[in-house]
Amino acid sequence: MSVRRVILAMDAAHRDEAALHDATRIAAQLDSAVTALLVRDPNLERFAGLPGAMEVLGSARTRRVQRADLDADFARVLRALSGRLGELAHEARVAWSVASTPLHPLGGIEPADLLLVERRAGHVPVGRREIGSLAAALLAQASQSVLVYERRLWLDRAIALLLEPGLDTALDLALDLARAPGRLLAVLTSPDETAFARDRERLRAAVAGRGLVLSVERLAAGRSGTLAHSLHRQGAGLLVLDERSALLRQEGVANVLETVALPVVLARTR
Amino acid sequence: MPDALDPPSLRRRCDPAQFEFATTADLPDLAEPMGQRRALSALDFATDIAREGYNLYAIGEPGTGKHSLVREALLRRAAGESTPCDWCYLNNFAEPHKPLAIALANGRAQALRGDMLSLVQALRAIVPETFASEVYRSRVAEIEQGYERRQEDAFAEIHEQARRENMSILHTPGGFGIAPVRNNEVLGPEEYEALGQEERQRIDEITARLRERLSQVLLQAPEHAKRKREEIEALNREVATAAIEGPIEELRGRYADVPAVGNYLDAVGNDVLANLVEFGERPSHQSNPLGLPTPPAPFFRRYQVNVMVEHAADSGAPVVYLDNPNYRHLMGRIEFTAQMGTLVTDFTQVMPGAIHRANGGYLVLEARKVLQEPYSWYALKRALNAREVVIESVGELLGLASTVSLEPAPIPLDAKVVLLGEPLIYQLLCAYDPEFADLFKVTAEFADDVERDAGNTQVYAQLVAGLARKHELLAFEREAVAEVVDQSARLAGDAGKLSLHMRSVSDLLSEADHWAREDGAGTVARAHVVTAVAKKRERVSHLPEKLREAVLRETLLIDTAGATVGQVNGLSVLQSGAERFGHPARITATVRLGKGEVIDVQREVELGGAIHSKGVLILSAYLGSRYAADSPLSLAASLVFEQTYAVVDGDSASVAELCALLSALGDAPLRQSLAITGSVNQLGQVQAIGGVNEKIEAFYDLCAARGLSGEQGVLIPRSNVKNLMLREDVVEAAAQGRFHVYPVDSVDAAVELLTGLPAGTREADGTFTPGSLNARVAERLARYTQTVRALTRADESPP
Repeated sequence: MSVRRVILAMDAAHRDEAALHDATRIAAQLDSAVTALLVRDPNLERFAGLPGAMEVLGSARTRRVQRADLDADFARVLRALSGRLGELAHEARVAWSVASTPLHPLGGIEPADLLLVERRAGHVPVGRREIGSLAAALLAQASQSVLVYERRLWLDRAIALLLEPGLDTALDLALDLARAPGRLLAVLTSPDETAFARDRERLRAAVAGRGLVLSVERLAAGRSGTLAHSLHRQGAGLLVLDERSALLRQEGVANVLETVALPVVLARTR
Repeated sequence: MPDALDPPSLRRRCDPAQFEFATTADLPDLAEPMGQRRALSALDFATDIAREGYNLYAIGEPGTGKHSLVREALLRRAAGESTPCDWCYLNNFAEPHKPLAIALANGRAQALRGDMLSLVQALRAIVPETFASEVYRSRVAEIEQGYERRQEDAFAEIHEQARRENMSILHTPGGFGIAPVRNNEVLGPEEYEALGQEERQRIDEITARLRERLSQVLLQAPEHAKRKREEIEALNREVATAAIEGPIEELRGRYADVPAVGNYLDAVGNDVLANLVEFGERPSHQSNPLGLPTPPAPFFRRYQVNVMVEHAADSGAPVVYLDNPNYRHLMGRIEFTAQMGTLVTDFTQVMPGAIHRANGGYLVLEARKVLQEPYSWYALKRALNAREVVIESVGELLGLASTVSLEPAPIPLDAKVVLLGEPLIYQLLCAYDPEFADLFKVTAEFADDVERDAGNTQVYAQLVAGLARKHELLAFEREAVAEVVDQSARLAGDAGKLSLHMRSVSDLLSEADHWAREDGAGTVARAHVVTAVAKKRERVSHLPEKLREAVLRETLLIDTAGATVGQVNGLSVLQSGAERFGHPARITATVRLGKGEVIDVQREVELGGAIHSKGVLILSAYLGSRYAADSPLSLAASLVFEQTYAVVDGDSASVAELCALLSALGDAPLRQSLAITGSVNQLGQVQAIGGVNEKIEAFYDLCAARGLSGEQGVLIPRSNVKNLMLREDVVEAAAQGRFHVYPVDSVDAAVELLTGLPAGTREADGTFTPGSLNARVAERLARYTQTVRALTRADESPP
């Protein structure tokens, strides 16, 4: 199924413009719409309801905060998102929208959406091997593919695909994302040379006619460190892999993200 | 009584037989300009001497060809001289309103311009690539992550502290919140209220403590952000310096012999580093739809090279002639462009003037035009005095500009200035401009005529040949050349001179060529030259014909027959545009008893010029000294130029006025068939005048129109005989005895011809020859004196 919409999920802390820009670019690349989704943490609602709740502002000043203040702040954030995303989407000629949802349950997400989330979103502070509560909630709750990034997306670099035997879910998405840079680096975890040759041919057939430059290599030992080394050597900018990947099962999402140090798309069957 | 002149005296003819060529095609060009050796020698001197103030003023009447002679001489000389350096203006990064002037060996200014364009293009490609590199990104990420880690660690400490106390740090839209938690969820208001007083107090204390700590961390954030920014800026400089060093060093090596360029490139490097953000975007390689080169982005104009003056290698010294020497064209200008309703400028809009282009060579200007243009003369003198050229607007020059503009660095001036002008302007400048003599120490005086001898006549033929070739005219036959020589003498107003008024001679040749081509002739014959002269006369004869018609219809009263007391035909010359022609004028005199004054009616009504008045005053002196030396001159006389309505000037009618006076005093009728011209001195000698040919021809034309009687003629000063170059028809009439030209030396000779009476000489007893005109005049004056004495005695007698 093709991606119909790219959803950039943001919380109150992570709403940087670069992410809006990248989400719009991906949407343009996939011929889909883009949505900025502001996720409201229910803990904030409860906090604002506490008597004498005080907010420490970025300037280190403090202020009393109530639910009405919080609502006003979110409304202001939505307006700002709407203005900026409108400009970016207009330039990129893609359909756009902004929406708001509580964290539990997440609303407004359709089956054919691709979710983007900054890995540290929704948690303060975030340790290097931790994943933010928003990213964690999306990974836990959503059935759609999720692109987890840290700080920036590098969309002009090659798209890497970790293709494990029997897990082809990531292939279509990787092929779609690879259209812009025009390069696809496929890392196959085929158990032996014969399987590798067979898988490589199958991959070549899938890529044929798409105008992509394809590089294929075999990852004998399925460890994220080895994979990271290979991806950086070949200048990859994004890794696509199936959420059922053995690598993820063995090392955990947080560790893989930390080790690979690239944006990662966890492709899911919808 | 003088005899009439014989025909050969009336027109000196050039004999074609003296020429050995058939046509001017057989003649070579002149080796050097004719008759201008003195001027060219002065020009050589002025150009040879390398001293301050030895600029040249070329003096000559308009049309003498001084411009082309000076230009050709300068071009010949300049071709062998060294080519001066190129000049360009560069941005002064320290003081942008004071552009830098840099001299480069000829041909290198354009090279520098190209090199700077290439450098900027290279830097616009290199700098973004450098900042897009993995190495750079990694180093930035390292810096950023270092600061983020520090902040994260600080937050982590607070978070851990909070966690231990069952509290949580929340990220709100505006900052942070601190709230109690249970089972990873913030307590709701009801849960909180349900807590005991002691627990709530504990939570409040912890919240306050954590808030205080959080504030401390946040207060450090700006300082961390500042340090991070500084580190990244330092990194940017380091990376960019390494990236731009190569191209700039390469260029510096290419201009190692020009320290000023090296200094400039240092400034360019620093400026690039200070403006890295401007180099952030790659230059677009898209051409515009018309395929024209895309203009540089406004920011990058600062690295352009404004080539003010450039010279091709080995092209010699420049010779620049500026036809329109207004201030901007002469001294250069600073242009402006309108941006958002404001006029802005920069060093690229400094434009050179002729003085810049002539630097290291020669600048040729017309003095009259320079003086006519506001501030050009002042600016030129200032540049010559200071030996440098400063470009500034007239407003700044006068101290009137209040807006900030550019002050381009002065450019040292090493040029010879040649001014071309008439003698009058030279004299006026000498008299009224004290700086002029210091700045223009050399004069080259261009002759407007040359002696008409056999050698010069041959040279003149070569001049005709050269002009014919230069103007691509048909070749002139030897007879045509002879006619041109005759016309040249006529142009010079002297049978013994040849005109060097090149414009007039060239016009004559061109017009003769035209008529020859009209005839379908292959060469220009004498007849074509004659036709050219006649046609030209016909073209400009409207006004003289109208005047003659007025005389023939007796609107203007001029007699050409009979005799009248106190009335004589004078001759004047009128100027109409570039042409001048003669015209007869009736002069009358009346006398009566008086106190010795001769009233010049022209002067009384302010229609007489100073020279004319001088002539009339000389008459008074002559009358008094000649006829009343021992007694009062008891005369009142008045003189009138009849039917003249404009200013009369010159003394060429003074002998005619004297004759009219003597006629009136002596009651002797004057022949109206004669006209007279000439000035007279106190001794009664007749002196030379100008325009003698035009005057004689004017009276001849009038007499011929009425019918030549054989009595008619003109009296001229004998000293003007050498100037006679009369028309063929006049000469022919004289040869047939139908018209006469009489040379006279004295008033006595003139009155004898005009009255038919002997003038008379003074006898031993002081009286004049009885019956002579002078005796009659003396007697009349004596009677006046006696009458005055009688009247005086009667007045003095007691009643």
